[in-house]
Amino acid sequence: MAITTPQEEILTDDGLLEGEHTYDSVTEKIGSIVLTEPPPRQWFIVFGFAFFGLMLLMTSVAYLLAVGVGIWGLNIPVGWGLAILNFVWWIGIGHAGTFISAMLLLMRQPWRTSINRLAETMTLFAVMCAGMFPMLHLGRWWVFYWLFPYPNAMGLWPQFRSPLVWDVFAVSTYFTVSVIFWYVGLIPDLATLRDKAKKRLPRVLAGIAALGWRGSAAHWHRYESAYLLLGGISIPLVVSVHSIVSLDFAVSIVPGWHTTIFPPYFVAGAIYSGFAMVLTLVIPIRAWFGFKDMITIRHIDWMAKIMLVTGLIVFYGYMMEAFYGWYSGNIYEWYMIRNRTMGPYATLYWALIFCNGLVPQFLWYKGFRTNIAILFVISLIVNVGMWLERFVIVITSLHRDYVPSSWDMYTPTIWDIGLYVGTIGFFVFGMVMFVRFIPIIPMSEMRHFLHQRLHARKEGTGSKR
Amino acid sequence: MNTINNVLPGLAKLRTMALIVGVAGLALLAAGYFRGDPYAPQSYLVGYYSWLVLTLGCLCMAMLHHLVRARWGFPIIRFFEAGTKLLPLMALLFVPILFMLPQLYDWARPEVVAQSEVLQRKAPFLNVPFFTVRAAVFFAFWIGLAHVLYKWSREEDRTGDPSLANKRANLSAPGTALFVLVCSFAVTDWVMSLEEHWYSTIFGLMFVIGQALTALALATAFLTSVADREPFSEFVTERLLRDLGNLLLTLVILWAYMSFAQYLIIWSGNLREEITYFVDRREGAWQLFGIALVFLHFMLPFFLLLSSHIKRSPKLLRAVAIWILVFRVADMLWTVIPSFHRTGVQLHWMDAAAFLGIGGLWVWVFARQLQRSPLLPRYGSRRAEVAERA
Repeated sequence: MAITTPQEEILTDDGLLEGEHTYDSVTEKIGSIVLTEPPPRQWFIVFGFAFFGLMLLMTSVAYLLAVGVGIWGLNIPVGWGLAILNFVWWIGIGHAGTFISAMLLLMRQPWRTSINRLAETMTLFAVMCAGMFPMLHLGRWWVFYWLFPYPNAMGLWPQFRSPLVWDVFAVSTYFTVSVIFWYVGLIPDLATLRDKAKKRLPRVLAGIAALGWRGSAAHWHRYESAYLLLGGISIPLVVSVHSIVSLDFAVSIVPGWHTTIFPPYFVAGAIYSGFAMVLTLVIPIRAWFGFKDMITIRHIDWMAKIMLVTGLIVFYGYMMEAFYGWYSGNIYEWYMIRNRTMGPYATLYWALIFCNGLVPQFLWYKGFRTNIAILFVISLIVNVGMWLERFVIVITSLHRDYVPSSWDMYTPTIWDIGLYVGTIGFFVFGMVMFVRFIPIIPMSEMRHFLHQRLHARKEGTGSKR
Repeated sequence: MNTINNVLPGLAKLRTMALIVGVAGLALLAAGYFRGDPYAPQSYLVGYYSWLVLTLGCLCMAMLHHLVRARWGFPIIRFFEAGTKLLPLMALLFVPILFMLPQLYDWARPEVVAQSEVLQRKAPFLNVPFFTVRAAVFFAFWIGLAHVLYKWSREEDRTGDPSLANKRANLSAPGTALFVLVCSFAVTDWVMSLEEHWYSTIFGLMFVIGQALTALALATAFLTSVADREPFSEFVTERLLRDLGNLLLTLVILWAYMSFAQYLIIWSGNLREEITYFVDRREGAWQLFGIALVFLHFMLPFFLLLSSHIKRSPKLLRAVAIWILVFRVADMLWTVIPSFHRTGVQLHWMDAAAFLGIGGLWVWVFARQLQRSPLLPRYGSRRAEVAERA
């Protein structure tokens, strides 16, 4: 009986690595960016812009610390303005890295190799950007450590029932584990850099960072177990961080915030925006540094597919919110939906529906998923859409509450915008430094990947994965 | 050629038994109904809901398999496909509910609606004609989708045309998206609207996850029972069992995650319209149900399915799958019955009669569906494709 299972897929023809590569050529190509090659011209241009953004951040923060949060557009009832929405936006972007690295690792998806390093690094900088906002929003930022429950003479404890406190734990744990995960994955590559480096300084620095890695079987054995274990630890974290962020809103009784779909819908939105940001970064980087053979159209297609799936979940969330806003029969819920769709911020709501509801539908067609230019534009639109989503959730739910006499409008000031653009500058600056000083693609994993495929080719049949 | 009768020799007998149980159960229920027992419609709805969840879960899992073409789905795809063929039966069994609407739903009783402001606001949506039209649309969608997918699956068996697998995948992608949406509205109509005030935006997603879990647990129980028999023995490897175990684990976690999210958010909000849902579910014996769901529907299967030892053994994995199935039913009882505000003993003998009655018919038709198609898809084309590329 001619029965085969779908498992017999051919590894050698999956489009994940193009061109003729050897172990040496892989190492040479990735490692040379760090060690020998001068960066392409575009790198300096982006560096310039990013540096400007970084300075803008410094200025905005300095002025904020000197004067106080009064420089922002906050008011009563909109006590949570751009700061919280930027926090959520950045922390959402910071989800793709660990999702790609951990989830795809455990699901044995071969396409994670060659984009995981980039996504993980992006995660670290995005979480740093996110972390700044709540801290700067404190007002009395110099007592930020009061957020942690430590024994003190003031008899002061955080409110453990508040998701804002859970946030402190969730985000700091997530950041810690992401750093460790990133660093552990980097160790074999640092050792390669140490061995390949011709100059003394990079050799010494990489040598110290490589923690004495010699690539022995025992090293690899421990490395693999540690990596898998960290992957396992990361997955609940990916889900928990944004679930808890969603609970910051959902445990309240504010119409537009208090809705049960928030946790899964926020997590999906986070992965959605994270993948959009990965695409925004990957598309220029692979072109400028000549990585089109390692980060192939297949990778990009896969990322676009994940964006489509998570985008659909997000859109489903919008639909459910609107439908149950009416179905509830609750006048406040229904007013919130009407205020969103027809109130003073309605333009932003419909822009959001355009960005996150309509535009991702193009990703149904392979032609769009594999057209780099179009996909780049879509990824930018999605980034904007996810920012608008948080704006709609935070601002439109707050600015008109139960009592019309306390209604107000919220307009961000130049300092709100300066801080936001500043964090983008910081983020891009971090990424610019990263592509220059750290291998963008994990060399050891690429060699391993190449090994598997050469092995499969030698056997003459598809390797069973 | 192996047929299900060789693999499961007792199937013919089981079918007869199922038919007897089915007819007897429904006859008892009908007797109760015509005697004017108020519990009869409620029991019917609960029984119907339990088996509908399984049927829709089969469609959901079949689409998932077509979409990702994963290894784990191959030996059980026929099982799921057979389940999807029961959707017409479920549509037929839905008809009695249409005649019992006033006994079941407050919004179908004009005298109650006249008293309730919130039901008057919902009336443009929750009214008998529109409800009926929606149900017809839902079933048309499900049956149509299931029919086309099954047709293409069997056609590939006959012709070996590999493009049919792509066609199924291409239909399953938008199919799944619409399926989730349709299911959300269906469960809003049929279950959520039992409550006058309560609503929960996550309810639809929970319904879909619950379906998938029910169907996968049953399919796993089935596959592990026939693991040592031809033609399944060739495919039931440790790796396959581990994949199924992990998938069950994922769905159990997702179910718990969503249930907990719903509970936590409603509990902290503590709003009168919402919290009543959980207050009702803490009355009397229901509180025990709730606690049992936490520990026995989530925690126990969670820890068991973490163990690779259990995931390797067909026997142990089957035990876990059956355990999950039992608590799936408990979850459905806990979700639906407290909405009826029964007094005194909360479970009634007619609940069992309806569950077994509908279940008997379900099994009777399901076994017939299993007999009608080969146990495994041939997918012969894939092997040719593999050979060609190598």
